[in-house]
Amino acid sequence: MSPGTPNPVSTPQRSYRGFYVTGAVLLGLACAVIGITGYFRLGSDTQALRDSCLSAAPGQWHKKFSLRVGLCTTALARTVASGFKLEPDAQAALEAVHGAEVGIYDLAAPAAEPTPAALLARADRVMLRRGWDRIVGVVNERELVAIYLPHRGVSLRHMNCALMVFHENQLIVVGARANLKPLADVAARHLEVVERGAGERRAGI
Amino acid sequence: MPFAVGTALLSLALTFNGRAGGLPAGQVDFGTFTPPSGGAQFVEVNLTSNLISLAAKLVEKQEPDVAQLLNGLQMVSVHVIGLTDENRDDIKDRMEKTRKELLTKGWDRIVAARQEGKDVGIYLKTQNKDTVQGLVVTVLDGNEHAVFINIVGDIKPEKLALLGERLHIDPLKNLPKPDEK
Repeated sequence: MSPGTPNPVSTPQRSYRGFYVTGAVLLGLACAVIGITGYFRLGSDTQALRDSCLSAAPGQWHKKFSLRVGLCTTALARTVASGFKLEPDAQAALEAVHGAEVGIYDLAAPAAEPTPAALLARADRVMLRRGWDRIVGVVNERELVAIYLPHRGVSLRHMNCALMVFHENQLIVVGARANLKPLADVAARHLEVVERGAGERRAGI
Repeated sequence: MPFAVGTALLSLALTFNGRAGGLPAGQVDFGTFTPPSGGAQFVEVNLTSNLISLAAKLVEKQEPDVAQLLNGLQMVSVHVIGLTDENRDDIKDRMEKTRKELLTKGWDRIVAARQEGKDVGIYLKTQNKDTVQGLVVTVLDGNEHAVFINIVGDIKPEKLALLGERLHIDPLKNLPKPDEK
């Protein structure tokens, strides 16, 4: 083959390479878009809890705020924080949180006066179907607080919970995943200090 | 061979079905309570064994006796219902019905007190003299609140007061210890 003659194999290789590069860029962009919008989308369980309330209190709901930080973001935060000298309690709190999400919604024009009983009943049904139990429910006048935990998989190191607060036509839903071990250690440390202090006071030291 | 496998599967299914259908000896089904209309107070707390054992782990170093007590519990269920004109009669009827049912099902009433509009009943389900399988506390606080509490688990009678203290169940705090009876 003379030097001026084009290589018959190189053209399809180049076109394939271009295809792969374009594909990778598009995939990267899609991941970036999903990743960025993911910060503003609630997880499926928290979303279900929110939707149950929105449907139990018909009217014009307006999203005020919605934010979600997942496993990657919290891991990144822990990595960055490890480079700084933080207070032990702050360090423990950072180590404990493995994901959190919060959504705040306003009911601007209720079709009818929403009753906490109806909200709670609907939320209970929806969450039970998804494998969550309500462990706390408090209703006081027109305020409502409910906390849900999954049937299974609750341990000191893996704790998931969902929380709902309805107060003056405002709904707040929160979801959190945490490892409570670091916080338990902090609590134990503080209890030890309190007990030691009480013991010293009793002994007149 | 297929017959043997079929029989084994059937017996396994029946075993699981039997377990799922029956409540533990100390558990009482109060039924479902709905928050009263008109803004009256309503509080429900339902703690299952995994959450209770989690709490036990939190305190096991500082208070091993409390951790041991908590580890014996399977369930804690608390219902506080504000009474209104709409639900008062229904809730009072349910409380009376629950109390009668407990007595007919072999529970022991250890406290029955009525004073200044308060009506308190404490019931125990015991396996033998040494073990309490379940505890029910019912309180009618005048015409304001009704309280239903059920604690299920393996509880030593001498630990009931400690349980009341730790779970903030006032009627249990003043229970006499077994040797004081």
